[in-house]
Amino acid sequence: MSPLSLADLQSRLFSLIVARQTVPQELKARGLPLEYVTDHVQGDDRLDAVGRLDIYNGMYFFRLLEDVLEADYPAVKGVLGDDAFGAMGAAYFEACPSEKPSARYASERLPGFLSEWCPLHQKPLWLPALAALEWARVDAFDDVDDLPLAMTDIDLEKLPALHLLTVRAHRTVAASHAIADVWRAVEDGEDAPVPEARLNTLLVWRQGAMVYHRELSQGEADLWPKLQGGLTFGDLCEHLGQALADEEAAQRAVQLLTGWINDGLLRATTVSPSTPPQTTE
Amino acid sequence: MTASSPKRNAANVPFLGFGIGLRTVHYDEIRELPAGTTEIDWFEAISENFMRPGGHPRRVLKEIGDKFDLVLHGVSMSIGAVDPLNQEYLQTLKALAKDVRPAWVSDHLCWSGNGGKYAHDLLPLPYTEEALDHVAARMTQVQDTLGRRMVIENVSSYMAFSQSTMNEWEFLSELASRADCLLLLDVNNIFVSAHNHNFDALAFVKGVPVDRVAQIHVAGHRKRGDLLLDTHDHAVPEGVWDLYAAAIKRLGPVSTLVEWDADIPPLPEVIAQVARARSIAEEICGPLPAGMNA
Repeated sequence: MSPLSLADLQSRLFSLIVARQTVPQELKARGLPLEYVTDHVQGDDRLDAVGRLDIYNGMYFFRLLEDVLEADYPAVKGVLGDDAFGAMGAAYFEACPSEKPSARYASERLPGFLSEWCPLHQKPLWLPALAALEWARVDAFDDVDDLPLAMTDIDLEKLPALHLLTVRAHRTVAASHAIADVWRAVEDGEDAPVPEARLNTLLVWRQGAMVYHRELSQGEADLWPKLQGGLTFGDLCEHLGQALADEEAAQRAVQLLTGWINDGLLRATTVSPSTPPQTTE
Repeated sequence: MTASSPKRNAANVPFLGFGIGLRTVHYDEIRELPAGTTEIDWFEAISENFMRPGGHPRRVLKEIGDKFDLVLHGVSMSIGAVDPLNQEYLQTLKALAKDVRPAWVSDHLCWSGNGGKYAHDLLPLPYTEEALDHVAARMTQVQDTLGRRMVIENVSSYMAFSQSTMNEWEFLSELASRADCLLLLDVNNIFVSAHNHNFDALAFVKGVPVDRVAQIHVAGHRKRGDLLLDTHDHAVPEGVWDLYAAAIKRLGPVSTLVEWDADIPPLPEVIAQVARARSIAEEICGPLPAGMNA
């Protein structure tokens, strides 16, 4: 037996550590003798070499499942239950192994994976959207701090020209069912309900240290892409005026503006993206 | 030995005192602690948890850094892997260090991935000349990129390799010499690995160069079958405290950190472990200052 190069040793061990089945099962499945491991890894009478390597195999899935997937997707786990969630997690990490150094990103592809994942009978139609909601909450939590716009920042004489810029720590999630009801039930420790089939858009955002989400009204959902494209308060009034009388449109615009400011959804326009994070609490 | 006011230790790095790992469950209480509190001198933050610029985690870290010394402790550099070093990771780490100004930056002597995939584990290396050449060259590259000396930690391990030609402390010592880096001596990891691989933990402690040890970790572990697992999920066991005392006797005052990463108890329970470390070190070294910020 000659020693392996560092590259060959790591390649050999890594494939066994991340294998979905145990190291003995994987060796058997690949038709490899125990010496494939025992020639290079030392064992003793307390635990043989294969058993020692298998500790790392077990920890790989345990760590990713418990520390990453369960932490990021508690509602998906609540819907699937422990066993199905564990099976799904193993299938996910086999199909989508982590490709970034930080484990923070290891679960980011779960919503897309769930769209394809079989067996279909274990997967409600709305599960990928529920996962998308949960990932949006994770992703918004550590996104950039912006100085939020305050009512006192607004010069009423220049209100029509006020640029409505949304804070960057927000996401939108489109869903075909009322998945927010499922999220809430699991959060409250209740059984997940079967959600109503209804097209809706969820807004996820962080205000201070807290991440929130709510369903956008149809009017807001239509407006949101326009806000991302750059909209002044005057543009907002004009847009609303297409469906409402002028006075009603102005009232609705003020109502929307006030709500967005109170929720911390708008950022002060004087702050450039390169400005260091500001304290918002 | 007696060291009445060590602002720098034998490795010529600041003596920070006695600290704990910064964990989210303690954020609120830690933010309330006044600067110069006598209970905790400094905090160690997991680098990867704060790498995204802006956002709540980074803001909390900077707020705590305004009051206490900080050290950045990474888990993903994968210094021993054969994959190319991840330059995006290194640049992000460099930017984080510039932003939060840690006393030093540390990571582990291990490999974590292969073929562009990551296991998010601290996998042990064979202790060979080939591995030493490889890691020393990469360490030099990392230090050049970051513009600072790295501090490298020994890991707990459950497997060792037939092809190793030196022991772990010989490997670490030679690495520190060749790459001019510093060492983070995790005495719990020494305790765990010594049990799992039947070597003398004291020989490890006596085998590392005194003038390279910048920091010490203490933590808890668990028994699994006949082996020990590095779990960080309960108080520091007596055997690890004994080994810590042996390390301090040899090294003098070294910045010491209590790690508690799973089943994390209320802050006072972690602080009690910090007090124990301080008590042991002061019994050996005499009165010690409460860190640089105190």
